[in-house]
Amino acid sequence: MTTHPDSPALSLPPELHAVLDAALDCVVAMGADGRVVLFNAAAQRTFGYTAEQAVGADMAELLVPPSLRARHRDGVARHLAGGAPAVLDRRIEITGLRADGSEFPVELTVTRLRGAEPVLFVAYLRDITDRKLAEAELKASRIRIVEAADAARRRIERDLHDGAQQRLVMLALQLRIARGRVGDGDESAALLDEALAELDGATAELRELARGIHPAVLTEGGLHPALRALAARSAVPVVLQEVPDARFAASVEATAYFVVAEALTNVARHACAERATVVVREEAGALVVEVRDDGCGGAAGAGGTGLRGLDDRLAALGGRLSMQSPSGEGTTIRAEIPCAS
Amino acid sequence: MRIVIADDAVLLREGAARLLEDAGFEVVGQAGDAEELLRKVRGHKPDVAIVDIRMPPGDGAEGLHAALQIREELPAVGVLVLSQYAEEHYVTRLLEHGAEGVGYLLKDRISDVERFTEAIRRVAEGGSVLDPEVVSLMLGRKRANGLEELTEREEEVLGLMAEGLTNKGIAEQLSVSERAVERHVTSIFAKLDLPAGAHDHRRVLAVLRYLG
Ligand SMILES: Nc1ncnc2c1ncn2[C@@H]1O[C@H](COP(=O)(O)OP(=O)(O)OP(=O)(O)O)[C@@H](O)[C@H]1O
Ligand SMILES: [Mg+2]
Repeated sequence: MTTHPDSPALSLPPELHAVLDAALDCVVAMGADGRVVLFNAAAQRTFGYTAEQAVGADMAELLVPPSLRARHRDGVARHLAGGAPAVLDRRIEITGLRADGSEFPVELTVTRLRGAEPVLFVAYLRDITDRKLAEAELKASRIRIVEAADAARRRIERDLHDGAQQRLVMLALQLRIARGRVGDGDESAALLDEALAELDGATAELRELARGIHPAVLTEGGLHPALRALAARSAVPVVLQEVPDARFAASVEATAYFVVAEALTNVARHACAERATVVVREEAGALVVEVRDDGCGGAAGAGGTGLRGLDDRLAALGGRLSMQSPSGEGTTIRAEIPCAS
Repeated sequence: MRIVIADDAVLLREGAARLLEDAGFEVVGQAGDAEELLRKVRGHKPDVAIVDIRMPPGDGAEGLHAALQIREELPAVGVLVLSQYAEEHYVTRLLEHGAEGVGYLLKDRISDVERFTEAIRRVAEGGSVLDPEVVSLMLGRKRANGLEELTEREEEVLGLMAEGLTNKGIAEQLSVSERAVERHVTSIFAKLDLPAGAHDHRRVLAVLRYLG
């Protein structure tokens, strides 16, 4: 960069140029007329212009994508006319334009150099393409983990259903046939009766376990029947006040289901409640799930793994979980699950 | 009595078929999926089709869809659906167009041969059979909406009623007198505010309509 007298470049001592060129961030300065007066080495690398090409050019034409130019120019004009500085001295994320026409995400802060005459704006920018990609990849992988876990649960339920559960039915069948061949007086009769009773218990337990892992009716019939079944099984009476009949993405339905399941388990275990109320409704692109109880409240929220697990699941899907639990006034769990339906 | 039985679990299906033959039923066809079931039911026109609710190719309730189709196409064929789960949703759908000649039982009830074959007979006669566990779940849900509490005995009687048992059958099952059962039934009907005088299999329907 030169400091030729009739060049539009900012006149700076060479040491200062060296300092700016050593920076990792792009440093770009422009005057009140919108022309570039400083374009450091990082800016040259990032945007693909030499200093000679950049200095003197219109900053907006050069670095701002066409769709954002009008807004940019308005902002500068408004600021120079004495308006509030909308973008100054804050970190903002915006799209930049390279020499080859490609656009990329940048983070930047712009400052107006105090006391500089004529007016001088300095922008510090960095290319955040990699970070954005990493963020997107992280988000996608968290969603994939939740989905993989759900798929695994579905598979386990299916395997139990087709495997162990069927075998137990077979076993009961055989035991009963054996029992039929043994007279009531026989000493094996009592043993077989005991075995059958034990088997009944095991069958029932396995059934509840399998449906707790992933209820088949959720996949087949959606939230409404699945939540009805959950309500019917709850130790504390449950009123299903509102549940949509519509179907949602599998991960959304599973999340809503597990929120209600954990909340109802908590109500039965911790709340001393008479009644719980469940409301599920679609609101502004999210499925909102609320479980209220009329119990003791005062939940600290930390400690257990139940709510923590739900919190993680919701965060992975870009949603959130909140709890209100004033002492003596019951507890409300609320989950917002993004759902583009 | 002629039976077609469908279940993708071969061992279980064959075990059940043998058990039914031993009990004097004629198993005229076996099927491993919904399509085969429909084909055999159309071909054999059995008295009762026994249908596993979850069969290939799907992962949901293929058997239920087949059962509903049989009901529509061949109303004379009784349908007894077997499921690993007591699921109200499936029961409701199964009974949507009437309860005559329909049943829904947990799969492990097969092993109680007497009750199982009794259930098949009732379905063949146009009665309805409902697993007591489903009834107790429906009751559980109703309780939250201010249902008057049934005593434990009354719930038991209600469950057996839904299973399609007559008062006499219930009395035998619970080892009490028929008079005692009658008293329980009257009390149940009063508490649930059901029309008195609905008898035998029609009272299953009355109970269901109330609980649904
Ligand atoms: N409905 C509620 N009423 C009162 N307290 C509650 C309620 N729900 C949760 N809590 C409190 O919040 C804590 C955390 O709940 P969380 O579900 O995370 O854990 P947990 O139920 O104790 O154990 P688990 O890991 O088995 O779920 C509970 O230990 C309890 O003290
Ligand atoms: Mg918990």
